[in-house]
Amino acid sequence: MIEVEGLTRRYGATTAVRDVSFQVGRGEVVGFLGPNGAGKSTTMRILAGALGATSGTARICGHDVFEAPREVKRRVGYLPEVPPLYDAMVVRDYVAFAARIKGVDTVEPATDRALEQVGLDEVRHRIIGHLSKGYRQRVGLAQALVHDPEVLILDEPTSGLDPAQRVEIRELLRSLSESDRTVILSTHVLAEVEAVCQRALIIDEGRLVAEDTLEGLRRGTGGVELHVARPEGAGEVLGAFGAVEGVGPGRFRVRTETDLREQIAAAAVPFGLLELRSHAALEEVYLRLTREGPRAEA
Amino acid sequence: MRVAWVIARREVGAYFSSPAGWVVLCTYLVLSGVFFVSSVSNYSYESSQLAYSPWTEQSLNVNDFLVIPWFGNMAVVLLFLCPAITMRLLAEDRRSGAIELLLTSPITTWQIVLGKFLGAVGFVAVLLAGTLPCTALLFWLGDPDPGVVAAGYVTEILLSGALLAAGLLASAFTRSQVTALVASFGLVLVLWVISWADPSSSDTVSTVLAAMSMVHHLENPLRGLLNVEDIVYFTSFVGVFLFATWQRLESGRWT
Repeated sequence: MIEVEGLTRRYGATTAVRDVSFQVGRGEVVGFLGPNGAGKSTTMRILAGALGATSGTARICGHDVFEAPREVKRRVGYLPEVPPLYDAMVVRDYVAFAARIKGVDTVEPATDRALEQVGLDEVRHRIIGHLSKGYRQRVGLAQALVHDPEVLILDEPTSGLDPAQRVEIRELLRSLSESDRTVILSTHVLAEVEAVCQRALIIDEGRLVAEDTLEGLRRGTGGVELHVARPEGAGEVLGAFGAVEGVGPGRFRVRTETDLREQIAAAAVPFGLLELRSHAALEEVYLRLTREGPRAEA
Repeated sequence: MRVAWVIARREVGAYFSSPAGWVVLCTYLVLSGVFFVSSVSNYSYESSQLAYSPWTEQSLNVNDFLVIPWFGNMAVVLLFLCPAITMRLLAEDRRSGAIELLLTSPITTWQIVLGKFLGAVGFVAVLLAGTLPCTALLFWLGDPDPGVVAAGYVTEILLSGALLAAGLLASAFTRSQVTALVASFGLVLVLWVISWADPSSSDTVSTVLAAMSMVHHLENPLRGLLNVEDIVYFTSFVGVFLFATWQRLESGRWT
């Protein structure tokens, strides 16, 4: 569905994206992760056709992004980091305008469908400039959905939202991904990736540093953290399940290949088990792969 | 063309949903009204003076003493107002990020440029339509030459086309509307007064400068003489500025 090959983008002397290659299959929901300034937005803007690339190729639905931009844009819905809104317009007029310039044949039904999809029915006659941030984000999504695209490219769709709005947008994304749409979304909220994505691409300083399913990324870093009341001898017993490291008085971290929480709990009870939780693996992977890791630990 | 039309319609709507659009509209109508009144009173003063001199009496006519000066004054008002009309066209979209909607829609850059331009021209057409009651009054009370009046309106549109295209170009270079305003006003003012740079009337330089000057190309059309030379002058300005705007937007994707 999306094939990116050796994509490079320079702004003058700085290189925002260097030699990035990846593929995304039909119906996949892929999370695009990385610290601020890593090149996520640049890559997404190139895929959406807002920006050219210095070198490399990108194909979406079999069409070259640079050779046949209009074919690609017809099939791609794009939500930039800042939703591209006209504040003085009424919600419904704006979405209808987007439908018209995107070449939708049946503007009225398409507009109504998009508004309903993102839950904007009750504010359709309000002026965009008067809406809350969460609603503005939805108007941006309606714009991206109005031409019923096969591919959705969403740049930080939940940034700046409060937790309730975040959950709503996440639910929305999940319902969208069920309709056989290919979705790429960037974020730096890892919980979001775990909630909606099947696969993650991690980018840092313009380079793709990891590309795998969530299980694949977690492999070798999964495990549990536990707190016991009487730690004497606990290390040896836990060592049977995987590599053990002490992370504080009475606290251990056990790395396991598979989910062994039940067995570890049973083994830890004689030592006075106080607390047991699975280790936030994706976070660790992320920090290890991006350069924030060493800095944060140092 | 259909897409350009959709964009143009949105632009015209945007003028009427912003206070700035209404301020420009009111300013234009008040100023053209003031100039109309002053032209009329000037005309009546002249006629009362010339009534005593039988030789000059036939030279006095409503075209030369009322219609032409009035359209001339309105052209100057447009010179000042057009930069205010165009300043937001692209600068505002770039500041707010709304330009991304246009850039990622399946349309060409030409359609964006043309749509923005036609929207601004449409707004000026509304302004000019606002002066029609004054014109109707002239026809009701006097006997102006319809050809001169028609040429006057065509000239105002041609002039606005060039001014608006220049303003659109300035607006493509910045996110700040104030910068766009000052840059486009500077650009059109230079084109307006360029012939003053060299007042000697003989050598090639001054001929070239005069040929480039907007004032020079307004003289004949405002008198009702719409000739090809002046039409080509204004339309080629439109073409050059729109092309430069297109270039600017296209290169913006690559640099």
